[in-house]
Amino acid sequence: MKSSLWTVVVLVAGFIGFLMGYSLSPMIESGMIGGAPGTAGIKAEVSEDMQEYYSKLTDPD
Amino acid sequence: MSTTAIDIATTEASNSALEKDLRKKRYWAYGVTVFFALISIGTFLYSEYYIYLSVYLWFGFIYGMCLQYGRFCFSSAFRDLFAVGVPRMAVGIMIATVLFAAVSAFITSTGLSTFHAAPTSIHAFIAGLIFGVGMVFAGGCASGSLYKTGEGNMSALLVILSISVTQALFADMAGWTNALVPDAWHESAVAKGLPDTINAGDGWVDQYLAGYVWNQPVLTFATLFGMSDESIAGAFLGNMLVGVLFPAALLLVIVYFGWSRRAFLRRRVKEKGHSTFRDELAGYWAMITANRRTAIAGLLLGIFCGLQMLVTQGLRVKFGIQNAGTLLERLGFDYGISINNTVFDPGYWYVTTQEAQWVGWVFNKFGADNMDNIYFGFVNGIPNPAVNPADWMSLALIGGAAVMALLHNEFKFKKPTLELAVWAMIGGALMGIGSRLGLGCNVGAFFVRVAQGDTSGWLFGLGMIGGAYIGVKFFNWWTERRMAKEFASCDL
Repeated sequence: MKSSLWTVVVLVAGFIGFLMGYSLSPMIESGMIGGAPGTAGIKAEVSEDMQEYYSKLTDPD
Repeated sequence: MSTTAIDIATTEASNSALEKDLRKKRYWAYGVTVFFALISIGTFLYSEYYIYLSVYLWFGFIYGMCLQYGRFCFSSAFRDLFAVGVPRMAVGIMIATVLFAAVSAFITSTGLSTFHAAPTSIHAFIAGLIFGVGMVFAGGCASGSLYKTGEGNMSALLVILSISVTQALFADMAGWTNALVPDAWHESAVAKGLPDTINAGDGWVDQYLAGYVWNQPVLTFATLFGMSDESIAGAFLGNMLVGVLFPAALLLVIVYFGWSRRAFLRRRVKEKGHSTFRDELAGYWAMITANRRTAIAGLLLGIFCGLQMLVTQGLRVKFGIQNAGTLLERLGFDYGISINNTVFDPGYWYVTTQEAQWVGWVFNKFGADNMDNIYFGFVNGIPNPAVNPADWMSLALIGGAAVMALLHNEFKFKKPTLELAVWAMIGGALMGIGSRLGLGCNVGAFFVRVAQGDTSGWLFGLGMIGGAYIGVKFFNWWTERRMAKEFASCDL
């Protein structure tokens, strides 16, 4: 019975380990865990043409 | 054949039958585990969003294993204490709460907790009182009934059914109950300006929630001392030390003097001829360490409850959501989602709301208009039970308890007698009402809240202890009355 219990425990631990790895990596990447606040986050690359286009949008005609 | 040979043959036959039975139970345990594993893997392969539900599933499975291992039942704890003077389980639960508080303080101080404190007022005490009476009548608390169902106890299943149905009916009760609502509640509820589809001015629970409970202060021990919950001082000193450790130690002192001290000191005096203050401390410590299994279960529950918050928060960041309702919509399930696009998604261990939801969903399918109330329509929704995250947790909890019971040869189908069934229904109904009044059960309104430093948790807990005491005294009176009647009929 003891070995059966350990089999179940190992299986459950495997799933929990996977879930933890799957869910914690985004928090590490975003700096919520183990990173200085404000150092990470979603960044979108904007070309110079695009920047000019948006800046002209607010210019008065 | 000699008598000895017959005895040996009989013993061998019974050993072989026992071994066969144990092997069968072992296969069943593997079968249940593999069933959940297949659900988890299969749904993940279909869509990665299902991993959010799998978090509930596997943590629920672990809670079930822990509860069954530690025989973690609030009803048994207080019944043992008040009826026969055995404090072991009550002490074990207190230790578990302290250990959970330590893990929670760490999680909260990292800012990753998913917990939200509840309003604090006398309503929590009254709710606990009703819940406490109910759990003694039913012979199991909300979480205890789940794990006992996993052990094959059909009376516990009746308790769960009763809690579920009562909550679903109670949350949507209107009509004549409106006459019982104070004017101030009605006016305050209507003034909240909830969406038109939510009829806050109609229904007792709606007006109780929006007109009374929401007006009460939300307090934690940290905020009472002017600290933030997320600060290290707030989490560890305010919420854990002052909010949990000190009151728990005080309660344990009361239990020691009330139920444990006399027997321990009697033994010491017998051994040494006298007792000192050191013996008092030894007695206190012996009481704390008496129930190793419950304490171990409590420690594991504490660790995994904390981990569940962490993992859930991680997935919310990954999927860019704040509530599982958004995920369900992305998966194409928009039925039964609340007007706020939310479903019940606490991110930690909870028992009763998902039970109300699945019956609410059934009622709705049969034509009941129960999405115009605050409980279902505004906050929790009634999603299909097959994709309800918290339902996955409860079902897996039953499965985890069944696996543990099967592996320890403690699984057995037990049909309730008519009398037990009636008590299960009455007790379950009282627990259902208590849960909705207190916004949770012995887990959601007491165990989790107390461990997070929420002041309303202790109010619910004190009420629950008082209710359990009343329940035990009532049962004693009931039993004595029945026995007296039976004796009287024998005399005739």
